[in-house]
Amino acid sequence: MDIDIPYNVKEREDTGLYNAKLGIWLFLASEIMLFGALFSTYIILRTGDTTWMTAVKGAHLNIPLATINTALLILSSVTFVMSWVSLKLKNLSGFKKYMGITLLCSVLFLVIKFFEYKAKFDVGHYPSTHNFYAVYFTMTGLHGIHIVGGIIVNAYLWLPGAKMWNTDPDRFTNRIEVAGLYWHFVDLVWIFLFPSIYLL
Amino acid sequence: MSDHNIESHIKVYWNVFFTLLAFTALTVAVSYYDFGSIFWTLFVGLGIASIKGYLVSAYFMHLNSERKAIYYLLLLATLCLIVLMVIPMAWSASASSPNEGYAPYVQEDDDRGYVDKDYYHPSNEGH
Repeated sequence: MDIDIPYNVKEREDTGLYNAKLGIWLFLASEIMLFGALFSTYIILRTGDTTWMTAVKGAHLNIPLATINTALLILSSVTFVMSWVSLKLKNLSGFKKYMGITLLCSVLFLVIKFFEYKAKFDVGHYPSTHNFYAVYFTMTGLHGIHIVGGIIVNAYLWLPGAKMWNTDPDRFTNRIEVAGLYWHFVDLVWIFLFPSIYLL
Repeated sequence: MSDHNIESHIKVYWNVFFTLLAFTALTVAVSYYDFGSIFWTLFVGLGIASIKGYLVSAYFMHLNSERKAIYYLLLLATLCLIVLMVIPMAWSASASSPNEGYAPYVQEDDDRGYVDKDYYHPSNEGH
């Protein structure tokens, strides 16, 4: 027996949204609380610790690499929007191209992050070394896990999931929009993480 | 959305992208500038980040033209966030010494470039 999931294309009268969009925004609201808690932790630990800035200086954070990572995420965000626009214009190959670039940027981000972490571990800087490193690894680590989650979903939508384009193109376009909202949020978090941890 | 409409949107998306790149460069540039006070350093640094955050959420996430349900949802989340951030900060600010409320942290100089011995002081004992 086939039961159609309601409102995955059509908008509900009461919310004015298709269900997945309301769903992803509810999830993102919970994500605001999650990252907010960590930012709050960061502020309190930092302001209460007289040795904080000495630890930051000793960490030799790699600002050029982090700047490249910021640019990569911004690029991946715009290519994600372009992949959604391509579907709106009924252009599947455009979608494939832009989503491919998004995925490439995401993987490069993780590769750079790997080298950053490795450089820290090589000189014996671990989360237990100082509260600064605890904050650094927790926040960038949680963000990195979000990148990994995004890559898994986006890769699915890029390859096997794209079959839906042949059967239900509007629903597939909405899936890309929803995945995009998540991806832009991950970009948004990094936009605040980057200056907070590396520059200020 | 008509095709013509989409074409104009594409232009906006790329303009936002280049603006975000420019602001990223600006963030890094100002981090080398000494503003003389922590307040202005944070104000400029987080101010630029907020503008970038606005651009991403307004244009890429389409929050500049979204349904009311989402605005209410985000308003609620933001209010909860503010309340929950203020509570621990007010509690932390009311502590009598900077260390109060935290486990004492002692670390020998181990060539990492800093010594944390000073951080430990007797007022922490018994906490």
